[in-house]
Amino acid sequence: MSISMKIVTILSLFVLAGTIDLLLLPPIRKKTKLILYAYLFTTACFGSNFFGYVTAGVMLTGALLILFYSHERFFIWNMILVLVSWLWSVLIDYGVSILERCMGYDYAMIYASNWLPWLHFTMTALFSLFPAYILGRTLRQKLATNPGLIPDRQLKALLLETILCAGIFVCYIYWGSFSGFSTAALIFNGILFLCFILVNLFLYMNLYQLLKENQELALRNQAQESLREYTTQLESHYQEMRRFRHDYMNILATLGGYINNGDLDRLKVFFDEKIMKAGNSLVDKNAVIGRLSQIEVLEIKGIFYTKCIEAMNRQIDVSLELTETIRQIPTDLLALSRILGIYLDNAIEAAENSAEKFLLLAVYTKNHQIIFHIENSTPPLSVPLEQLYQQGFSTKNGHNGLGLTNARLLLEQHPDIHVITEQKDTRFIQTIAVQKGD
Amino acid sequence: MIPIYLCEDNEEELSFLQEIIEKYCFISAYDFQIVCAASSPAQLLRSLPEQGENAVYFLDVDLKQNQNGIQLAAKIRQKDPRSYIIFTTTHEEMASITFRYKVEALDYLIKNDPDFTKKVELCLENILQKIKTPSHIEGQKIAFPLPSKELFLKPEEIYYITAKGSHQIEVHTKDGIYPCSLSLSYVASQWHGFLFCHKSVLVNPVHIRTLFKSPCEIELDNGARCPCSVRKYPLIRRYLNPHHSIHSSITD
Repeated sequence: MSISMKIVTILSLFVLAGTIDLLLLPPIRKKTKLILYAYLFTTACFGSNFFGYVTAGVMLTGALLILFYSHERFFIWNMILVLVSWLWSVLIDYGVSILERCMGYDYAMIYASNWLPWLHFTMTALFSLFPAYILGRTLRQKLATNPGLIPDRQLKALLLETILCAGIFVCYIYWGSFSGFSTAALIFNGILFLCFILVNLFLYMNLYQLLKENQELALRNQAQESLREYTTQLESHYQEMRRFRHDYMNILATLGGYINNGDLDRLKVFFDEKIMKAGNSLVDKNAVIGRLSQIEVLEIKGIFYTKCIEAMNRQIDVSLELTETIRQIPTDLLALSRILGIYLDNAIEAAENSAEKFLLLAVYTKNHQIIFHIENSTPPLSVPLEQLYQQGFSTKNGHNGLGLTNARLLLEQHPDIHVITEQKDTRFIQTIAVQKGD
Repeated sequence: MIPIYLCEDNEEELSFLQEIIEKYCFISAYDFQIVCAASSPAQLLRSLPEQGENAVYFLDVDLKQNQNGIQLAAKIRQKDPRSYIIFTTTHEEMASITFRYKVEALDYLIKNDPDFTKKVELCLENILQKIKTPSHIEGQKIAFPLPSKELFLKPEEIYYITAKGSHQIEVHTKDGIYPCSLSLSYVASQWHGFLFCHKSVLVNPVHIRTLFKSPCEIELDNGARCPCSVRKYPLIRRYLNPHHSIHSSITD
């Protein structure tokens, strides 16, 4: 082996490590990463003396076990990603080797040469690191706003399938080593591996699409469920109105009686007792709910309804202002309802813990924008506003502080939704503006 | 002469309001004059002049006609952007936030309130104060166009501004975080007291409490932290030293 070949072999270990690092999903403890890379390096360097071509299998099994026992947040994902990085690097290695064979260089030449290994290395590095970076970034983004993107059951199935795939690769390489890696074998193997990976890719993407649609369906079902509750509430409100009207007629009749008889004293007593009491029964949650009829966008009506009821159940004084009909909101409604949901959750939580227990929601249009105004009382805030948005920060005990961070990420992905955050004395105000479009 | 317009569909309440205002103007010799006491929105709109005159409007929100008070106010605001609008209503809990923010009403008064007269007088006094104070004495303000409103801030109210993309910035003050579609360089040109402590962060040095070296960041008066670039560290340090030697500390 030429010196270049030796150096390149070592460097390619770094490339593999780099690829894995770009793909691994945070949060991961530094300790876990250290053990993982140390293990990979040791097996890669010395393993071939003991295991021959099955070294790869040993490497991967060990890596998977390390990740499994680390029990980090996304450990199943990471196990899949380590396997994927290895599979991909094998494929790229094959691909580049085939290219070199076509150019006329075979293994023997490469081993002996001083510059060919570098060519091989640069090409494999490029085709490994770049896609890894892109994929890693995309995954991180998607999972940041949606950690439940692929549910655990499907994830475990995916892991099993990827392990099978990797196992087959390892076996093939092992057997292939007996034939001495002739060009024919190389090309055959390469095509086989490529097909395998393409099928896998196709399956993964299909799965992702399916799950995304599933999620949207689930959210729509939720909205529909809220609407059903809403109609029920409305109907009971109507019944209450009828009863009130009935009582009202009776009260008027009695008043009429007292007036006709000129009985001012009994009239006063009756008035104070019955009238003032009757009036208050309507200024309750049903009045607020009735106002929601002004929002004709179902997803938003649903989320406002759910959160208003929840706030009222937590003894919060809820006011809802809707002075005009909102017929449609031209934006990603899924994102908007999630953003509103996060802010409303926070507002309710803060209001509940405050002395005043006040929550006010207002929706109106201004300057071709639809404005959602969420105002709530808060307990005294001891940290600057910016810190509330930091990942992992939460004033609530036992919460992982991802709500507002998720909201921020969603907002970054949707530039047509703007949020202003303000805090004045004991009041916290979030103003969410969406472009109206017309 | 500051014109006052009234719109109230209940005759008694209309004349009551007129009385209060006229009495007040007479006693205090203020230069207000009721130019229109309309009993319907249409009548009011007809009597509006083409040009805005920074007039005062008392509008009843319980108008039982097609146009409710808010829509009427929106139309008035279109013609007379700097007018002073005051709503009167019998319902206490009616849409206060929507009044205040959507139409930028000065106030809304409850008709049954025993202090109604006093509150009307206070409104008029308030308006006079605002008119008498010319804006250049208040100090220079920078305009930030936000989606929901136009925000005017005095430079000393601003703590720092970060760039969030091309022509997208986030203004941080003591009480709030405001996203806005302006460029950082434009804002820097509006007031020369700002310093670039990072290629995408503009800071108001008046509010710097502490400067940290590693990691390189600046802590502001409200406890918030903004990033500082290593290259600008000496600049900020130099700026702080001669002026704020007593009040700020520099930690290495």
